[in-house]
Amino acid sequence: MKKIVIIDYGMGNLGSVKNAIKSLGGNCLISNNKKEIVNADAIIMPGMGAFDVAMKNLDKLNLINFLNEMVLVKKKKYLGICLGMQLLASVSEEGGLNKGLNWIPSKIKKINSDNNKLIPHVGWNNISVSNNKTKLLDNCNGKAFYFDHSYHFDCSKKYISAYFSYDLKYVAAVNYNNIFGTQFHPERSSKIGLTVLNNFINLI
Amino acid sequence: MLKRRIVACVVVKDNWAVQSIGFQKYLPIGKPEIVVEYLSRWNIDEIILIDISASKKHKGPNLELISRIINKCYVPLSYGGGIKSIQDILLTIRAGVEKVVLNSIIYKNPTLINEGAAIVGSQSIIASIDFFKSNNKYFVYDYLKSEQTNINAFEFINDISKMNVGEIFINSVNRDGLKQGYDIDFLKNISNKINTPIIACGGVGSFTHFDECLKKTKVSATCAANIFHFSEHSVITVKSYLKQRYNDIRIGDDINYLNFSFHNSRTYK
Repeated sequence: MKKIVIIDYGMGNLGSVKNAIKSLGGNCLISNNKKEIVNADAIIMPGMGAFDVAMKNLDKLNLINFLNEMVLVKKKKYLGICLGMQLLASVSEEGGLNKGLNWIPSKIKKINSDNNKLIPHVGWNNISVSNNKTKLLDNCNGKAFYFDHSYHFDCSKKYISAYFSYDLKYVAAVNYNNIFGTQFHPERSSKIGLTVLNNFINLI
Repeated sequence: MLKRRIVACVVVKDNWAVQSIGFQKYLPIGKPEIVVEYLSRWNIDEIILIDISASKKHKGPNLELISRIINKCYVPLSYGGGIKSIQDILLTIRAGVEKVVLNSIIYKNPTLINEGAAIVGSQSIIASIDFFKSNNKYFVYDYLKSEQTNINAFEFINDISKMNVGEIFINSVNRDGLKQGYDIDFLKNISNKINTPIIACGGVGSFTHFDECLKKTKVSATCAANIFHFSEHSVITVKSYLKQRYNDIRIGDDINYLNFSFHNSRTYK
């Protein structure tokens, strides 16, 4: 059975992702140990939290170059959830200007709060799937997922798999080769969320 | 379109899920882990778990309770009760929840909100304020001392909203458990004033109370505790009723009563 490692970099609630994968019959463990990650078939980076703290933690754990090798060179399948997706970016405006992993050329910017829009963007929102070649978002078009964030992922159309609408159109999911990201939380999006995680397990 | 949320608050006292009345009387309902499992299964939008014994007993967050609850929960989960420090916040989130709810600590150490947000992100910090209406004025209520304070609730909430807080949970003490609806006046005014998402709680006795709150205020989430304990189907019935009236309610595909005709409002006794 394919092995998934959920990276523990001290950010957010890891248990719910592990719980969700296990309930789908997946084989996963939570770790930041390189020996365990090297043997994984796929990597999940979950997380909620401050971007700058996340990058600092990854740096302290000596994981940045290692993950570059695992994902960009060894091409292990990668799923970034929420903060885990935002870390894919080149740079983020959160907490000052901070560099990300730069796996997808992009910038993390604050969500527009004009017209008295409530910030953060929190709650269930529908996604519209624009590109599902990889089948991660099978059966997900138009469905509502749980979001909770104040910043959004700004990148070129060619990396975007789905959008959500909050007055303006924003990126809900991205994909570039073996790299996937969802701004929403599939582990907290009830049945449809489990569908996305199941789709990920199936494409490993 | 972003939906407005129907949230369940599970109040826990001495490790029992309870029905709360006026912040004074508590009647046991059952095991919190069973309550959460059913709420998640019936597709509630979000669950807020509040341990009201933790701070009173000078204990930290009830991590053991969280560990018993998380396995069957597939909707967002927040926890409040006994959180007093950054360490408490980190341990609580790591134990398995998305957001922490801070109540009594806000008065002693309000800087914890921004300090916590700097590490876990503002989206994970919910400030919880209980309010008490007295002579047509609204004051902040101190639940540890079981008394109202002299602090103007409207101004206090407005001030908190300017901090790096994700959401504000606003609970009416007077209406708690009375089944006479939310305090619409207060909620309407505060939701028109601030740009922080508000979770409204306190007073729901029938579906029409959610309806009234959604129609007359700009709150992001309507929350209730007691009503969801008295019928297995209450989550689905509430959502079906509201979905017939509002577009921005989330309803699952599998089971719903969208074709059901709700002639009269139902009040749970």
